[in-house]
Amino acid sequence: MEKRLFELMPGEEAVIVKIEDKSVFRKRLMEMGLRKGGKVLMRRDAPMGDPMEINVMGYNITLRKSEAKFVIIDNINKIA
Amino acid sequence: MKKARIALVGNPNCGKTTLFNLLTGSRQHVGNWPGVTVEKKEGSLSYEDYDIEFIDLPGTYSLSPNSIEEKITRNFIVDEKPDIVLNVIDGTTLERSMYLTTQIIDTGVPFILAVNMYDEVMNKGLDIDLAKMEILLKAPVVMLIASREEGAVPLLKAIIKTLGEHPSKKIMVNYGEEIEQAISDIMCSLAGSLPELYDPRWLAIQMIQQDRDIIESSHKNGRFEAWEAIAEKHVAGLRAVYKEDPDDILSEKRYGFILGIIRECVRVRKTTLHKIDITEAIDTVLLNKYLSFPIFALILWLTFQMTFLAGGFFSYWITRGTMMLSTFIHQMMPSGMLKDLMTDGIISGVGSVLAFLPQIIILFLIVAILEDSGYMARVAFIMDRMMHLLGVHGKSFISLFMGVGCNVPGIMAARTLENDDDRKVTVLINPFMSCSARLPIYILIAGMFFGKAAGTVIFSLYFLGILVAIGTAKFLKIFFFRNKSVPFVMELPPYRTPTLKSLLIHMWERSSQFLQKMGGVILVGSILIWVLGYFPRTTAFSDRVSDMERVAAVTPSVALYDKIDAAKSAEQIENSYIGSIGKWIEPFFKPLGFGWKEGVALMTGVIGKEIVVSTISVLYETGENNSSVLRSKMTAEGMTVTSALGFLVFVLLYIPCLATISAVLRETNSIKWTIFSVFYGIGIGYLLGFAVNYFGKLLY
Repeated sequence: MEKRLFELMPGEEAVIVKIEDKSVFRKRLMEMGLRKGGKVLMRRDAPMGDPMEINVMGYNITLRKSEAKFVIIDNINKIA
Repeated sequence: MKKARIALVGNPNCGKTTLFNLLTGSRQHVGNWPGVTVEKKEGSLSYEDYDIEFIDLPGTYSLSPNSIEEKITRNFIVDEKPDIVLNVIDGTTLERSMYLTTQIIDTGVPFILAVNMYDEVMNKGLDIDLAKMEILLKAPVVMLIASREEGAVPLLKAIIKTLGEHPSKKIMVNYGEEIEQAISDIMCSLAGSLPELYDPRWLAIQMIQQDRDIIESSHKNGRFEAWEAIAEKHVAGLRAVYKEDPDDILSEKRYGFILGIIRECVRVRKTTLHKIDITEAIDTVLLNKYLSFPIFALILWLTFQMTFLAGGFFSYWITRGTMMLSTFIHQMMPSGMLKDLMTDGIISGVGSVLAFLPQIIILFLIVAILEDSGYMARVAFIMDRMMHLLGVHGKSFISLFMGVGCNVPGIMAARTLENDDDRKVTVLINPFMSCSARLPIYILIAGMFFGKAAGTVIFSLYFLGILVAIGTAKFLKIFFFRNKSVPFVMELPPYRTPTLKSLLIHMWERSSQFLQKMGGVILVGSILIWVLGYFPRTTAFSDRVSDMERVAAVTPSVALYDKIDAAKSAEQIENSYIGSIGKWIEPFFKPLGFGWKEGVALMTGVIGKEIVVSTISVLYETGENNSSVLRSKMTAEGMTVTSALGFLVFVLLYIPCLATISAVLRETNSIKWTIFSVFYGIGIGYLLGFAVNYFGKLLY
């Protein structure tokens, strides 16, 4: 079932389907490793609930939930 | 000696700067790229028969010109054409790091790939076949452990070898049949009309990516329409085939190219040992929902204590030292103008510069540790929710917090922000964080006029400063820094032990910059204010002084002589240029409810706000500890509780001190914003000071 990245719970892994945004932001995400078909692991939310920390390609990045809503994901797995 | 220029290019946190420091050591020069606040670092090294100049370009993830850092990096590579691009990558994250490599390949500039953090690569149980990678990339590939100073010599040898070679066959990233066809079509149709500066293939790729910069620069070329038409045609064609932006296809193909190389060159050693992820373990604690804030508060508290208590300790002795020197010269030199200039102008000016130095050194040592260890990125992570409300980045918090101690190091700490707009806004709102130099004024005035409520008044002033900072940030974001295209997304790098060398270079850089750039401004300003208060010399004093002198001639007493001296100093300042200016601008301050003496005190306070206290005590002829006398004298000249509050509000907000002004100038790299900072502060201070006085009178 398709979801959006900000809905992912800590410890869940998913596959990136696409990035919806049309601005330079999508390009930035792709350049930082959020590529179509790639895996993304949700690490945690910041103490105040936003932003969130994710792991892609073996390194950690943080992005705001308002940014994460553009990332469509699928095949969610609980791994940790 | 042959000359060569080498640009260091790599992601943030890839160890590029550590390598730069390793190669160039103290032979560095730090400046700014024209017009922006991004640092430009250059350094040199002589090796074999080469004089090599290294340029440390800003850390970026890509060469698409979407941020200032990316633009600087890309333009340097394609416009300045360094002899070699030294691409430093984090060997543990090849897949992501090499994205930039594929874009460097596109530029057609000779490059060397330095696979850094090789120790961590091995710890992870990975083997990278560098020789094979070299063949696949048709470029030298070297391993590096910059933090342990390993791999520099093979790297230099590779550099020398590459410099001596004729450009050989270059690697290309294959973008697939359709795109390659489009690239060669564009190259064909542009043949002959291409600006010679650029690599034709690179230019064609930029056109397919519809790079605005390139399209704009082709405007100047006069061939704009023809070019655009050709590019449009191909982009439309590709879109029809792929049902996607050609941009996305290029990006996918790049990752495909990288995966191909990783598949060929990287082997995972069979390892039964399950290593714990240290970074993740630390983050479980440091980023914990309940622990993160207490821990951060503790770290902040320690930073603050070390900077302002330990720094303050050294500052105290520096101040003592300059005072002793001043006394010494006072005794040695014959009385006169030159002596006064030396002691009251130059030495006290130099002293006020030096007094900042220990705090700057300690603060930057701590900030460097926080940054190099990886904790600063976590600060942004946990503070972003709050700081986002102000419209600034999570990292701004450190800068603003340090501002409460002193705005100068606070403003300098804004450098840790990656985005130019965020940096400028953080710098510009920093002066409203009430610094410790303002506290003596609050204590004096609030203590005199508010008695038991003084604490509440002082607290409210700090709070007001924060509110004005928030309001100003909003104002600036709405009217001047509307560029929202830069997203928050950033890396949380693995925790690493900072290297001593990097810490020391970092510290040295900031401190010497402070002395060079700000020292001069503060010194000149201090002397200027001294001159304005010293000239013209008053030779004839008022009847009051001559009356007292007549009495003293008959019944001499120490107390009386002191009184005469105080009266003379006060009259000297009153008749000096600064006194005249103070009287001239008195009507300006009338609506706020204070007179020319406060006006003069505020002007001298530009050197450093704490000076307001000493000027007031000179002008009112009271000792600094005689507040009851001072209060009655101030009241006699029309100061009321409300105008005292207005005065405090004005002190909080008006012109930042000279050191802060020069820090703003240095960090925004813009005269326009510095002038804005000065006048905005006066404006907002005047407005709020007036409001306090006006409504206070209505209520009282």
